[in-house]
Amino acid sequence: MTIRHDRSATLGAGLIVQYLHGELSADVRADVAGHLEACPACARLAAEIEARTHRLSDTLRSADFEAPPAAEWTSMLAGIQATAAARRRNRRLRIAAGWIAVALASGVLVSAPLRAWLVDRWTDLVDTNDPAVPVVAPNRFGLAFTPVTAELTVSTSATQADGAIHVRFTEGDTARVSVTAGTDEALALGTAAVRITNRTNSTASYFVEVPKVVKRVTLRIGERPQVVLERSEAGARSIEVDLRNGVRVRNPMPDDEP
Amino acid sequence: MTLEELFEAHNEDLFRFVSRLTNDADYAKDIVQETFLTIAARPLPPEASAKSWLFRLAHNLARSGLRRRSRRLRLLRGNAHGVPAASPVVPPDVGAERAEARAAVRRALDDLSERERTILLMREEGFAHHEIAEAVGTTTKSIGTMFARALTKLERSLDGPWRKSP
Repeated sequence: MTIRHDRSATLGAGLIVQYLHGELSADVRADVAGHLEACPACARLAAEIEARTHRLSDTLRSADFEAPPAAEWTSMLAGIQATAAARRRNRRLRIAAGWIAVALASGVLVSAPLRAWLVDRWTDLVDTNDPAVPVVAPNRFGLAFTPVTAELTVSTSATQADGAIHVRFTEGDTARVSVTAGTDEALALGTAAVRITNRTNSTASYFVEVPKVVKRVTLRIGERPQVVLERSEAGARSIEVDLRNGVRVRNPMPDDEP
Repeated sequence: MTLEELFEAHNEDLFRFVSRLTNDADYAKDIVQETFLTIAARPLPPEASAKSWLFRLAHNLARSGLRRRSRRLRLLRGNAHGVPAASPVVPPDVGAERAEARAAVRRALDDLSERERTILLMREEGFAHHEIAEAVGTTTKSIGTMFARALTKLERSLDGPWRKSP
Protein backbone atom coordinates (compact mmCIF):
# COMPACT_ATOMS: atom_id res chain seq x y z
CA MET A 1 0.00 0.00 0.00
CA THR A 2 1.22 3.46 -0.85
CA ILE A 3 0.52 6.26 1.55
CA ARG A 4 -0.30 9.40 -0.32
CA HIS A 5 0.60 12.45 1.70
CA ASP A 6 -2.56 14.38 2.39
CA ARG A 7 -2.14 18.11 2.75
CA SER A 8 -5.18 18.28 4.99
CA ALA A 9 -3.71 18.39 8.49
CA THR A 10 -6.80 16.86 10.05
CA LEU A 11 -6.87 13.82 7.82
CA GLY A 12 -3.14 13.42 8.09
CA ALA A 13 -3.36 13.81 11.82
CA GLY A 14 -6.00 11.08 12.01
CA LEU A 15 -3.76 8.60 10.26
CA ILE A 16 -0.79 9.66 12.33
CA VAL A 17 -2.78 9.16 15.51
CA GLN A 18 -3.73 5.67 14.35
CA TYR A 19 -0.05 5.04 13.69
CA LEU A 20 1.03 6.39 17.08
CA HIS A 21 -1.66 4.39 18.87
CA GLY A 22 -0.71 1.14 17.18
CA GLU A 23 -4.04 0.87 15.39
CA LEU A 24 -2.74 0.12 11.91
CA SER A 25 -2.11 -3.22 10.33
CA ALA A 26 1.53 -4.18 9.87
CA ASP A 27 1.75 -3.26 6.17
CA VAL A 28 0.03 0.11 6.56
CA ARG A 29 2.11 0.81 9.59
CA ALA A 30 5.27 0.13 7.59
CA ASP A 31 4.08 2.46 4.84
CA VAL A 32 3.31 5.24 7.30
CA ALA A 33 6.67 4.80 9.00
CA GLY A 34 8.34 5.07 5.62
CA HIS A 35 6.41 8.19 4.79
CA LEU A 36 7.25 9.85 8.09
CA GLU A 37 10.93 9.27 7.44
CA ALA A 38 10.65 10.93 4.05
CA CYS A 39 8.28 13.76 4.91
CA PRO A 40 9.53 16.32 7.47
CA ALA A 41 6.12 18.05 7.67
CA CYS A 42 4.31 14.86 8.61
CA ALA A 43 7.13 13.85 10.94
CA ARG A 44 6.80 17.21 12.63
CA LEU A 45 3.07 16.73 12.96
CA ALA A 46 3.57 13.26 14.42
CA ALA A 47 6.04 14.59 16.97
CA GLU A 48 3.68 17.39 17.83
CA ILE A 49 0.75 15.02 18.39
CA GLU A 50 2.90 12.79 20.52
CA ALA A 51 4.08 15.73 22.61
CA ARG A 52 0.52 17.03 23.02
CA THR A 53 -0.63 13.60 24.10
CA HIS A 54 2.07 13.48 26.77
CA ARG A 55 1.18 16.99 27.90
CA LEU A 56 -2.46 15.98 28.10
CA SER A 57 -1.52 13.08 30.39
CA ASP A 58 0.63 15.31 32.58
CA THR A 59 -1.99 18.02 32.80
CA LEU A 60 -4.77 15.61 33.64
CA ARG A 61 -2.66 13.94 36.30
CA SER A 62 -1.73 17.28 37.82
CA ALA A 63 -5.39 18.13 38.18
CA ASP A 64 -6.62 14.75 39.38
CA PHE A 65 -8.68 14.37 42.52
CA GLU A 66 -7.19 12.36 45.32
CA ALA A 67 -8.41 8.79 45.10
CA PRO A 68 -10.39 7.64 48.11
CA PRO A 69 -8.34 5.82 50.77
CA ALA A 70 -8.28 2.03 50.79
CA ALA A 71 -10.64 1.85 53.76
CA GLU A 72 -13.27 3.76 51.83
CA TRP A 73 -13.01 1.37 48.89
CA THR A 74 -13.30 -1.61 51.23
CA SER A 75 -16.37 -0.13 52.79
CA MET A 76 -17.83 0.64 49.39
CA LEU A 77 -17.28 -2.93 48.20
CA ALA A 78 -18.95 -4.29 51.32
CA GLY A 79 -21.89 -1.97 50.72
CA ILE A 80 -22.15 -3.04 47.09
CA GLN A 81 -22.12 -6.70 48.02
CA ALA A 82 -24.74 -6.23 50.74
CA THR A 83 -26.98 -4.14 48.50
CA ALA A 84 -26.61 -6.58 45.63
CA ALA A 85 -27.58 -9.46 47.91
CA ALA A 86 -30.60 -7.50 49.18
CA ARG A 87 -31.62 -6.62 45.63
CA ARG A 88 -31.38 -10.28 44.62
CA ARG A 89 -33.58 -11.23 47.57
CA ASN A 90 -36.08 -8.49 46.72
CA ARG A 91 -36.07 -9.53 43.11
CA ARG A 92 -36.91 -13.11 44.09
CA LEU A 93 -39.69 -11.79 46.33
CA ARG A 94 -41.01 -9.56 43.56
CA ILE A 95 -41.06 -12.50 41.17
CA ALA A 96 -42.90 -14.61 43.74
CA ALA A 97 -45.31 -11.76 44.42
CA GLY A 98 -45.84 -11.39 40.71
CA TRP A 99 -46.80 -15.03 40.36
CA ILE A 100 -49.12 -14.77 43.35
CA ALA A 101 -50.73 -11.69 41.85
CA VAL A 102 -51.20 -13.51 38.56
CA ALA A 103 -52.72 -16.45 40.39
CA LEU A 104 -55.03 -14.19 42.38
CA ALA A 105 -56.00 -12.23 39.30
CA SER A 106 -56.83 -15.47 37.54
CA GLY A 107 -58.97 -16.49 40.50
CA VAL A 108 -60.80 -13.18 40.45
CA LEU A 109 -61.37 -13.42 36.74
CA VAL A 110 -62.77 -16.91 37.09
CA SER A 111 -64.83 -16.26 40.17
CA ALA A 112 -66.25 -12.88 39.19
CA PRO A 113 -68.72 -14.23 36.61
CA LEU A 114 -69.70 -17.05 38.90
CA ARG A 115 -70.22 -14.61 41.73
CA ALA A 116 -72.36 -12.40 39.51
CA TRP A 117 -74.34 -15.43 38.49
CA LEU A 118 -74.94 -16.38 42.08
CA VAL A 119 -75.82 -12.88 43.19
CA ASP A 120 -78.26 -12.64 40.37
CA ARG A 121 -80.17 -15.64 41.62
CA TRP A 122 -79.77 -15.82 45.36
CA THR A 123 -79.38 -12.45 46.96
CA ASP A 124 -83.07 -12.30 47.69
CA LEU A 125 -83.05 -15.30 49.94
CA VAL A 126 -84.32 -14.23 53.28
CA ASP A 127 -83.23 -15.14 56.72
CA THR A 128 -85.65 -17.33 58.67
CA ASN A 129 -85.25 -14.99 61.58
CA ASP A 130 -86.99 -12.42 59.48
CA PRO A 131 -90.00 -11.29 61.57
CA ALA A 132 -92.08 -11.55 58.44
CA VAL A 133 -91.79 -15.32 58.69
CA PRO A 134 -94.49 -16.30 61.18
CA VAL A 135 -93.76 -18.76 63.91
CA VAL A 136 -96.91 -20.77 64.11
CA ALA A 137 -96.01 -24.18 65.35
CA PRO A 138 -93.43 -26.06 67.37
CA ASN A 139 -91.00 -28.39 65.70
CA ARG A 140 -90.60 -25.97 62.91
CA PHE A 141 -87.33 -25.67 61.10
CA GLY A 142 -86.18 -22.69 59.17
CA LEU A 143 -83.81 -22.86 56.32
CA ALA A 144 -82.06 -20.04 54.61
CA PHE A 145 -79.49 -20.53 51.94
CA THR A 146 -77.42 -17.58 50.90
CA PRO A 147 -75.06 -18.76 48.22
CA VAL A 148 -73.45 -15.36 47.90
CA THR A 149 -71.71 -16.13 51.15
CA ALA A 150 -72.40 -19.85 50.79
CA GLU A 151 -74.18 -19.99 54.09
CA LEU A 152 -76.95 -22.35 54.86
CA THR A 153 -78.67 -21.88 58.16
CA VAL A 154 -80.97 -24.48 59.59
CA SER A 155 -82.59 -23.48 62.81
CA THR A 156 -85.28 -24.85 65.01
CA SER A 157 -87.70 -22.55 66.65
CA ALA A 158 -88.92 -25.05 69.19
CA THR A 159 -87.84 -28.15 71.01
CA GLN A 160 -87.06 -30.95 68.64
CA ALA A 161 -87.18 -34.60 69.40
CA ASP A 162 -85.27 -37.06 67.37
CA GLY A 163 -85.01 -36.85 63.63
CA ALA A 164 -82.16 -36.17 61.30
CA ILE A 165 -81.48 -33.46 58.80
CA HIS A 166 -79.68 -34.28 55.62
CA VAL A 167 -78.26 -31.55 53.51
CA ARG A 168 -76.86 -32.61 50.19
CA PHE A 169 -74.88 -30.71 47.65
CA THR A 170 -74.82 -31.53 44.02
CA GLU A 171 -71.27 -30.45 43.53
CA GLY A 172 -68.38 -28.93 45.33
CA ASP A 173 -66.25 -30.11 48.12
CA THR A 174 -66.59 -30.46 51.84
CA ALA A 175 -69.05 -28.30 53.65
CA ARG A 176 -68.53 -26.98 57.11
CA VAL A 177 -71.13 -27.30 59.80
CA SER A 178 -71.32 -25.90 63.24
CA VAL A 179 -73.95 -26.17 65.87
CA THR A 180 -74.64 -22.90 67.53
CA ALA A 181 -77.21 -24.17 69.97
CA GLY A 182 -78.56 -27.46 71.17
CA THR A 183 -76.87 -30.44 72.66
CA ASP A 184 -76.16 -33.95 71.74
CA GLU A 185 -76.45 -33.37 68.04
CA ALA A 186 -74.71 -35.74 65.75
CA LEU A 187 -73.07 -34.24 62.71
CA ALA A 188 -71.97 -36.38 59.85
CA LEU A 189 -70.00 -34.45 57.31
CA GLY A 190 -69.41 -35.91 53.88
CA THR A 191 -67.82 -34.57 50.75
CA ALA A 192 -71.15 -33.44 49.41
CA ALA A 193 -73.57 -33.86 52.23
CA VAL A 194 -74.20 -33.06 55.82
CA ARG A 195 -76.29 -35.23 58.09
CA ILE A 196 -77.45 -33.69 61.29
CA THR A 197 -79.10 -35.95 63.80
CA ASN A 198 -81.10 -34.53 66.62
CA ARG A 199 -81.16 -37.16 69.36
CA THR A 200 -82.74 -35.45 72.24
CA ASN A 201 -85.24 -32.80 72.87
CA SER A 202 -83.49 -29.60 72.30
CA THR A 203 -83.64 -26.33 70.57
CA ALA A 204 -80.92 -26.29 68.01
CA SER A 205 -79.50 -24.12 65.35
CA TYR A 206 -77.23 -25.44 62.67
CA PHE A 207 -75.04 -23.35 60.55
CA VAL A 208 -73.81 -24.96 57.40
CA GLU A 209 -71.30 -23.40 55.11
CA VAL A 210 -71.39 -24.88 51.68
CA PRO A 211 -69.09 -24.33 48.76
CA LYS A 212 -69.91 -21.38 46.57
CA VAL A 213 -70.20 -23.56 43.53
CA VAL A 214 -73.14 -25.49 44.94
CA LYS A 215 -75.99 -25.61 42.48
CA ARG A 216 -78.60 -27.41 44.51
CA VAL A 217 -79.32 -28.01 48.16
CA THR A 218 -81.51 -30.85 49.23
CA LEU A 219 -82.87 -30.90 52.72
CA ARG A 220 -84.52 -33.87 54.31
CA ILE A 221 -85.66 -34.04 57.88
CA GLY A 222 -86.37 -37.42 59.33
CA GLU A 223 -88.67 -39.32 57.08
CA ARG A 224 -90.20 -36.22 55.64
CA PRO A 225 -90.14 -35.49 51.95
CA GLN A 226 -87.05 -33.71 50.90
CA VAL A 227 -86.94 -30.07 50.02
CA VAL A 228 -84.82 -28.96 47.14
CA LEU A 229 -83.43 -25.53 46.52
CA GLU A 230 -82.19 -24.97 43.03
CA ARG A 231 -80.22 -21.96 42.02
CA SER A 232 -82.27 -21.90 38.87
CA GLU A 233 -85.47 -21.51 40.83
CA ALA A 234 -86.13 -17.84 40.68
CA GLY A 235 -88.89 -18.11 43.26
CA ALA A 236 -86.98 -20.15 45.80
CA ARG A 237 -86.64 -18.28 49.02
CA SER A 238 -86.87 -19.42 52.55
CA ILE A 239 -88.35 -22.73 53.49
CA GLU A 240 -90.28 -23.67 56.58
CA VAL A 241 -90.27 -27.27 57.64
CA ASP A 242 -92.79 -28.52 60.12
CA LEU A 243 -91.97 -31.96 61.41
CA ARG A 244 -95.52 -32.64 62.40
CA ASN A 245 -97.28 -31.35 59.38
CA GLY A 246 -94.82 -32.08 56.67
CA VAL A 247 -92.66 -29.81 54.72
CA ARG A 248 -93.93 -26.43 53.75
CA VAL A 249 -92.19 -24.01 51.57
CA ARG A 250 -92.77 -20.44 52.41
CA ASN A 251 -92.14 -19.20 48.92
CA PRO A 252 -93.08 -22.43 47.39
CA MET A 253 -91.60 -24.11 44.46
CA PRO A 254 -94.35 -25.75 42.48
CA ASP A 255 -93.50 -29.35 43.33
CA ASP A 256 -93.19 -28.75 47.03
CA GLU A 257 -96.42 -26.96 47.57
CA PRO A 258 -98.46 -29.10 49.98
CA MET B 1 -13.59 -13.27 37.75
CA THR B 2 -15.57 -12.39 40.86
CA LEU B 3 -17.20 -9.08 41.61
CA GLU B 4 -14.58 -8.45 44.26
CA GLU B 5 -11.72 -9.10 41.83
CA LEU B 6 -13.30 -6.81 39.24
CA PHE B 7 -13.70 -4.12 41.84
CA GLU B 8 -10.13 -4.40 43.05
CA ALA B 9 -8.83 -4.31 39.49
CA HIS B 10 -10.80 -1.34 38.18
CA ASN B 11 -12.22 0.81 40.98
CA GLU B 12 -9.45 3.41 40.96
CA ASP B 13 -9.25 3.61 37.17
CA LEU B 14 -12.99 4.10 37.01
CA PHE B 15 -12.88 6.76 39.69
CA ARG B 16 -10.15 8.63 37.85
CA PHE B 17 -11.98 8.42 34.54
CA VAL B 18 -15.34 9.55 35.91
CA SER B 19 -13.89 12.28 38.11
CA ARG B 20 -12.05 13.67 35.08
CA LEU B 21 -15.19 13.41 33.03
CA THR B 22 -17.40 15.11 35.60
CA ASN B 23 -14.93 17.10 37.70
CA ASP B 24 -16.68 15.90 40.82
CA ALA B 25 -15.00 13.39 43.12
CA ASP B 26 -18.09 12.58 45.18
CA TYR B 27 -20.16 12.08 42.09
CA ALA B 28 -17.43 9.87 40.63
CA LYS B 29 -17.55 7.70 43.75
CA ASP B 30 -21.30 7.38 43.38
CA ILE B 31 -20.91 6.37 39.77
CA VAL B 32 -18.28 3.76 40.61
CA GLN B 33 -20.59 2.34 43.23
CA GLU B 34 -23.58 2.35 40.90
CA THR B 35 -21.54 0.74 38.14
CA PHE B 36 -20.56 -2.19 40.33
CA LEU B 37 -24.06 -2.46 41.75
CA THR B 38 -25.39 -2.68 38.22
CA ILE B 39 -23.03 -5.42 37.18
CA ALA B 40 -23.61 -7.29 40.43
CA ALA B 41 -27.18 -7.84 39.31
CA ARG B 42 -26.12 -9.43 36.02
CA PRO B 43 -23.83 -12.18 34.87
CA LEU B 44 -20.33 -10.76 35.07
CA PRO B 45 -18.73 -9.87 31.74
CA PRO B 46 -15.86 -12.00 30.40
CA GLU B 47 -12.53 -10.97 31.81
CA ALA B 48 -11.15 -9.88 28.43
CA SER B 49 -13.86 -7.31 27.88
CA ALA B 50 -14.58 -6.48 31.52
CA LYS B 51 -12.69 -3.19 31.59
CA SER B 52 -14.27 -1.89 28.41
CA TRP B 53 -17.67 -3.02 29.64
CA LEU B 54 -17.25 -1.33 33.02
CA PHE B 55 -16.08 1.96 31.56
CA ARG B 56 -18.87 2.05 29.02
CA LEU B 57 -21.40 1.46 31.76
CA ALA B 58 -19.83 4.09 34.03
CA HIS B 59 -19.71 6.51 31.13
CA ASN B 60 -23.41 6.00 30.41
CA LEU B 61 -24.36 6.33 34.08
CA ALA B 62 -22.31 9.50 34.42
CA ARG B 63 -23.76 10.96 31.24
CA SER B 64 -27.35 10.35 32.23
CA GLY B 65 -26.67 11.69 35.72
CA LEU B 66 -24.94 14.75 34.31
CA ARG B 67 -27.89 15.50 32.08
CA ARG B 68 -30.17 15.45 35.09
CA ARG B 69 -27.77 17.66 37.04
CA SER B 70 -27.45 20.00 34.11
CA ARG B 71 -31.22 20.36 33.88
CA ARG B 72 -31.39 21.09 37.60
CA LEU B 73 -28.66 23.70 37.32
CA ARG B 74 -30.42 25.40 34.42
CA LEU B 75 -33.58 25.54 36.48
CA LEU B 76 -31.73 26.96 39.47
CA ARG B 77 -30.08 29.58 37.31
CA GLY B 78 -33.41 30.43 35.76
CA ASN B 79 -34.99 30.91 39.15
CA ALA B 80 -32.18 32.78 40.85
CA HIS B 81 -31.20 35.91 38.98
CA GLY B 82 -27.78 37.14 39.86
CA VAL B 83 -26.75 33.92 41.52
CA PRO B 84 -23.48 32.78 39.98
CA ALA B 85 -23.36 29.44 38.24
CA ALA B 86 -22.21 26.57 40.40
CA SER B 87 -18.49 26.06 40.25
CA PRO B 88 -16.61 22.93 41.18
CA VAL B 89 -16.04 22.58 44.87
CA VAL B 90 -12.37 22.50 45.73
CA PRO B 91 -11.66 20.39 48.78
CA PRO B 92 -9.81 22.37 51.41
CA ASP B 93 -6.88 19.96 51.53
CA VAL B 94 -6.13 20.47 47.88
CA GLY B 95 -3.43 23.02 47.21
CA ALA B 96 -4.16 26.23 45.35
CA GLU B 97 -1.95 25.18 42.48
CA ARG B 98 -3.77 21.95 41.93
CA ALA B 99 -7.11 23.71 42.25
CA GLU B 100 -6.02 26.21 39.63
CA ALA B 101 -4.81 23.45 37.33
CA ARG B 102 -8.03 21.58 37.79
CA ALA B 103 -10.09 24.64 37.03
CA ALA B 104 -8.10 25.27 33.86
CA VAL B 105 -8.41 21.68 32.72
CA ARG B 106 -12.07 21.76 33.56
CA ARG B 107 -12.65 24.84 31.46
CA ALA B 108 -10.74 23.33 28.58
CA LEU B 109 -12.58 20.01 28.81
CA ASP B 110 -15.88 21.86 29.00
CA ASP B 111 -15.08 23.46 25.67
CA LEU B 112 -14.96 20.05 24.06
CA SER B 113 -18.03 18.19 23.00
CA GLU B 114 -19.05 15.29 25.18
CA ARG B 115 -17.83 12.88 22.50
CA GLU B 116 -14.44 14.58 22.18
CA ARG B 117 -14.00 14.60 25.94
CA THR B 118 -14.81 10.91 26.18
CA ILE B 119 -12.44 10.04 23.35
CA LEU B 120 -9.53 11.85 25.00
CA LEU B 121 -10.21 10.46 28.45
CA MET B 122 -10.80 6.89 27.28
CA ARG B 123 -7.61 6.96 25.26
CA GLU B 124 -5.86 8.26 28.32
CA GLU B 125 -7.07 5.12 30.09
CA GLY B 126 -5.48 3.00 27.37
CA PHE B 127 -8.52 1.93 25.40
CA ALA B 128 -8.17 0.81 21.81
CA HIS B 129 -9.91 2.76 19.09
CA HIS B 130 -12.60 0.13 18.54
CA GLU B 131 -13.52 0.25 22.24
CA ILE B 132 -13.69 4.03 22.21
CA ALA B 133 -15.71 3.94 19.00
CA GLU B 134 -18.19 1.59 20.62
CA ALA B 135 -18.54 3.86 23.65
CA VAL B 136 -19.13 7.04 21.69
CA GLY B 137 -21.06 5.45 18.87
CA THR B 138 -18.86 6.01 15.85
CA THR B 139 -16.59 4.06 13.52
CA THR B 140 -13.18 2.84 14.60
CA LYS B 141 -11.50 4.56 11.66
CA SER B 142 -12.82 7.97 12.65
CA ILE B 143 -11.36 7.87 16.16
CA GLY B 144 -7.86 8.89 15.07
CA THR B 145 -9.12 12.03 13.38
CA MET B 146 -11.47 12.87 16.22
CA PHE B 147 -8.72 12.36 18.75
CA ALA B 148 -6.36 14.68 16.87
CA ARG B 149 -9.06 17.31 16.53
CA ALA B 150 -9.99 17.12 20.20
CA LEU B 151 -6.36 17.37 21.22
CA THR B 152 -5.86 20.48 19.13
CA LYS B 153 -9.04 22.01 20.47
CA LEU B 154 -8.03 21.27 24.05
CA GLU B 155 -4.64 22.83 23.53
CA ARG B 156 -6.22 25.99 22.23
CA SER B 157 -8.59 26.14 25.16
CA LEU B 158 -6.03 25.54 27.80
CA ASP B 159 -3.93 28.42 28.94
CA GLY B 160 -1.64 28.90 31.91
CA PRO B 161 -0.54 25.51 33.15
CA TRP B 162 -0.94 23.90 29.74
CA ARG B 163 1.21 26.36 27.81
CA LYS B 164 3.71 26.64 30.60
CA SER B 165 4.18 22.92 30.86
CA PRO B 166 7.20 21.54 29.01
